[in-house]
Amino acid sequence: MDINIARDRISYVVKPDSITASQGDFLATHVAINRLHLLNKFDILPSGGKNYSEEEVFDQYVFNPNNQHQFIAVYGQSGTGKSHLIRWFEAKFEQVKPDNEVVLFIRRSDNTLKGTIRQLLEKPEVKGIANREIYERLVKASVFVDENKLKDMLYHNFIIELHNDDDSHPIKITNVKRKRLEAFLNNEVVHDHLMSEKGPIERMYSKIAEHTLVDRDTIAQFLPGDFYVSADLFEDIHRAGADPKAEKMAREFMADETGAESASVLASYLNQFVNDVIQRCAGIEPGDFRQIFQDIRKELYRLEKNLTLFIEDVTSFTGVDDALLDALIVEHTGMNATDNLCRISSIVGTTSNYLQNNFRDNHKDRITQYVYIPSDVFDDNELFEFVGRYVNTMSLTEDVVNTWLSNHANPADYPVHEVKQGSGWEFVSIGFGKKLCLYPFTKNSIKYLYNYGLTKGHQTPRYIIRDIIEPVVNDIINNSENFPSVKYNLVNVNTTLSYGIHNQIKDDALADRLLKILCIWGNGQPEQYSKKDITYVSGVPESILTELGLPTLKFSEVKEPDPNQEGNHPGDEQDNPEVTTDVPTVPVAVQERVSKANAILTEWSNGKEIDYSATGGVTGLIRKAVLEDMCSFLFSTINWQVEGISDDNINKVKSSKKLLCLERQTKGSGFYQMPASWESMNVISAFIRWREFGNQSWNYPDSDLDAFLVTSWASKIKDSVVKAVSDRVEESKTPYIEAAIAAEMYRLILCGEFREHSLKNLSTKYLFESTTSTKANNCHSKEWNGLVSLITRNGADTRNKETIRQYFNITQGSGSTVVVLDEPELSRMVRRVKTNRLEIAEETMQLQDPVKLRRDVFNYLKDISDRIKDVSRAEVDKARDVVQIIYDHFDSDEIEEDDIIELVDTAKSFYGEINSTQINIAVASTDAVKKGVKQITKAINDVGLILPEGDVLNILMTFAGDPISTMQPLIDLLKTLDGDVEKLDQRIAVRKNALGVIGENLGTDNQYRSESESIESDLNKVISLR
Amino acid sequence: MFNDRMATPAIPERVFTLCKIVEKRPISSSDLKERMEPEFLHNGSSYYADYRNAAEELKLISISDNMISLAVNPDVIKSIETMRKYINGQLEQFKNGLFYQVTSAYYSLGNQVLSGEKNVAAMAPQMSQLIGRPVDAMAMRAWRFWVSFLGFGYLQDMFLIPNTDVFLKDLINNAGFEKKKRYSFGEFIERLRPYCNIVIDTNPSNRKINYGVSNGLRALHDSGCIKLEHILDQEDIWNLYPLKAHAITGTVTNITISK
Repeated sequence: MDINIARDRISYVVKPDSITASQGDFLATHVAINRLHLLNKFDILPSGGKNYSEEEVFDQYVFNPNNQHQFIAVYGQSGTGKSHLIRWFEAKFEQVKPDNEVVLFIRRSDNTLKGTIRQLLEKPEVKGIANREIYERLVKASVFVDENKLKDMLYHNFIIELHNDDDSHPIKITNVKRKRLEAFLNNEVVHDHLMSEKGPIERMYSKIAEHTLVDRDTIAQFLPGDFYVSADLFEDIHRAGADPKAEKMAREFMADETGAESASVLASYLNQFVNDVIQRCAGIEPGDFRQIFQDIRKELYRLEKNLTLFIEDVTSFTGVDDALLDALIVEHTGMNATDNLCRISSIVGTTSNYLQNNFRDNHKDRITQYVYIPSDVFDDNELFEFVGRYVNTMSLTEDVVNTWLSNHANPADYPVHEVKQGSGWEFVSIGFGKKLCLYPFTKNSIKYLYNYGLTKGHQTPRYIIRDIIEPVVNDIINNSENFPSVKYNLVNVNTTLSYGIHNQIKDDALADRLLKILCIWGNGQPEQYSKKDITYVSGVPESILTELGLPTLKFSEVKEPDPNQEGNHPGDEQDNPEVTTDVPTVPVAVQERVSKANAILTEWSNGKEIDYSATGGVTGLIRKAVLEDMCSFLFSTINWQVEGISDDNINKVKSSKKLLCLERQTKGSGFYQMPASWESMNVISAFIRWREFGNQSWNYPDSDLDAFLVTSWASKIKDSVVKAVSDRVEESKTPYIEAAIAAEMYRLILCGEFREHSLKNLSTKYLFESTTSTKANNCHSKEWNGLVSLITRNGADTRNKETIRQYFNITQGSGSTVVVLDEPELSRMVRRVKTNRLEIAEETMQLQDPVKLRRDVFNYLKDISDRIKDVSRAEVDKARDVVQIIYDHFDSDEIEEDDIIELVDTAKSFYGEINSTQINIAVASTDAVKKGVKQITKAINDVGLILPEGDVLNILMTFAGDPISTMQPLIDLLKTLDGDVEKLDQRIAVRKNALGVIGENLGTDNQYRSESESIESDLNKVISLR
Repeated sequence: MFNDRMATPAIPERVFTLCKIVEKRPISSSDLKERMEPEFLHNGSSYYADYRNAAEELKLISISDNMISLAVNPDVIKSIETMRKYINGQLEQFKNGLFYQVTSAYYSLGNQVLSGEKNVAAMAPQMSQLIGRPVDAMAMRAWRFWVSFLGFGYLQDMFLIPNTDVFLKDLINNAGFEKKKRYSFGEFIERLRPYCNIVIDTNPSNRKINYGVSNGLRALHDSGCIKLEHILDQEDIWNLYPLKAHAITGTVTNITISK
């Protein structure tokens, strides 16, 4: 290459549109096409059959040796080189044509209707045709129309055509549907949608407006996709207040099963109006075009000349294509002989798709010869030659090329540039003893970029020029010190090579450049070999690496490769040197699966998203590696207890989401995200090999590197993984174990298992003892019992207790029934909870913890702490009511043990007297009161000390022992006494009434005086105690 | 654990906890047991003796008149990492112990372990043969806890992938190398010699470093802790286990302790 010349020439030489290149550059870059197919009948994708060279096709058909009417269609996919071939035919024809042959080459350079007619009129041979002035006026009379106005004209003309459809076209729709479609098209939202940048109107506009930049192979048509209505679009249509008919149409397009079909039918229906609409908007009628051709042919006939017409691209004629084809297929003999038309030989280029859909059957039938250009038009050597010729031509000055052209462009005289850069690089032979330097390419790089840099359907000359030659050459010209700086799609990178490079080169940018060079310019293998004293690293000579400022690495020495195998890449399907040479014991099917998984990972590390949600197939391998094997490895290799994460915590984490996830994964989440990097790719690949090659062991060739890789990776990410699962990352947040302990302490109090008035004696022992069932008959408030019921529901209390037990258990391996406590940590945590008086501020609770079981602990505590205030208030209210009864009886709120003992004694005496007077009242037992006098007195005083708005925890602890129950015997006794006194009053009254008459008459007043006085006295005492 | 029988309950974390309890003040053995395995747990059986013995073997604690005291400077048990570093400096005292001999034998197998049993417990017969004394599956299960804790390798379920990076890092710190100074590799090994024979060939003339230690050295090199070099004119050449893809493919002559 000669960079100095190429810098100026590249923009002239590298033109994807062959028509715009100069004739010299065109011929200097031309590579003979030898794989053409000849057919008599249209076949969109012909296979098999004989290959013809372009020379053979020219000699037999294009040259028209029999001087007959012919219509040759040259077709193939977009970019396969149809224009190039037609231009070459034209150039060759110009050199050998008979004197009476007029050649008309219709370009598509401005790609418009009027531009095409202008090209026709510019030909010197047709200067004298009839009506010339009219035609010129027609072309020049283009009224300048604003772009948006012209597009609107197109759009509304379709509605006009639709409205006035007289059913003269082959595709018909019902009146109802037509009205719906019309309403649909008239909708403002639909209008904006179809007028959008990628919409159908834009495509049609490009065919009539001048100076538009669109894909040359764009077809001016409606596509079914134009009418697909998404939910969002429908919503917009609906919101804009659409006509009901328009909405119905939109709904039809939205239907899951029939929507696509409806869209397809209506697109085809509207396409029937495309020609009429375009012609009307362009101001040209079909008749104009047919007439132009008739006049040209008549003029040539008059001049005794014949016409050979080369049409680069018939799609340029959208709008008048029918008319044009009609004109071209008219023979000059037979019934038309009287029209005095010249003979016409037409060579017309078209895409396969356009030919299939836009040529009517009667046109197809009258095509005399089909020439098909396949997509893979070049074999490897032709591909190298294609690139070599472009590099060579841009390294030659225009003068040198023009001199060669003026000397008939003889291949034997083909000029080869003086190599200024890349003399040590590869060359390609082009015959006549000439060799072209491929710098800045290698054969490997051309093949790699062709196979993996171009998408399917784009592996054609146009895209080789646009996407391979131009960017790479520009890169070396403008950025040689960072070459290759273009971001390439690296496919199925060998992980050993990737690891080797990134491990040995710490400068990431340099390492990435070297990886690109060795993968794309080399063979992508971690190997080196010597050939004629030159060392090749991954197939790239060391001298090239040095020239590019890249370091050379040491890899395993291998034998010099077989020249026939040269250029293979790990991604090449036919052979995989890494797998076949390094892993001989692994079945081929397994190797292929692993290789495919590696290819997906390579794409991911290159920036693509990754979806490995499927459990089967190749992505299933990645899924197993990441979500099963790697997670399992990290769980077992990280000593969580040593890292301060208890076994209980890890078990909770395991039951939550996955430990790992990948950057840019489309579904799912994990605690630690692996970045989309070469290192992650290598590690995942290592685990895939562990499972697939080693059957879940490291017993496979080259596992030594994989085992090293995964251990050094584990060492590197350990701290981050630990941090990701820890619940103690934020200092301000409370660890869940603290919440569990606080909740358990509340439970101990609420269930009466801890009844002291201070937390001081709440020892760790309480936390580990089994729970006792709560007494059903207690005197707690409804709220208290409700909370107890809530915290014991569905075993929540047992689970919380188990959390505490396992959290502080220092386990061995997978666990054991024997619990060994981390006592210092347990004591520290219990102390802390007690110091904080079981309080944990809600904002410090990790209620959004991604680990559900840890979150459950906080919610459990929150359930309690949200309610304890109400519970304590209710409990105090109830107790106050009860204790007031006692205060009232004793007429004091300072009650001592002696007061109660005195009450008991008096009650006993009371019942004794009743007994002695033989009044039938059952004796109430005072034993329970007497026995519990101490507790009762304490309970009364404890409750008396409580303030309703006092400390909640104090209140709970006061009532933990259920003091109301303790007071109950006294309450019961007081109530019984009250009842019995009342009964006694009634009985005495009855007796008195009975005695009153007898006493007065018999003088027996003194008979019961003493008993009466005794009863009166006791009764007064009892009453005084009320 | 280190002198003779390897017992699964004697795990490092329990030894560390025990030491932390006695760090405060000497405590009777029964009280210590009650702190770690209190009666109220109703365990039924006890592991206490196993981990207490391990702590005693390692001279972390001393027992006198049934009172247990911390036998090392409290800095040794400042964290479980400092305890590990201390233990790694003591291992050579247990040359005749089962743990030492099994570890030594495992690493002498080099990369062969990768193609052997997937469960270390199943390696017991092989280990018995290699060291010439009985080793049972239970002992191998106990061995895995300590060998991974001390940084000789990475557990993958019941398999140990050899990579001594953590162990070597402790030894380097114990040996007191001067930072940023380039040592010949032979000198480096000689300074580690009092602590490293458990996994590094005792015959210096062999100058071969096995797979697990090579992995450890390479991992430390990759993480920037050390810098391995092969300087062409040096004669003190040591052979690491060859890994062509690594920057240090096989031979080394010098080492610099970076951090």
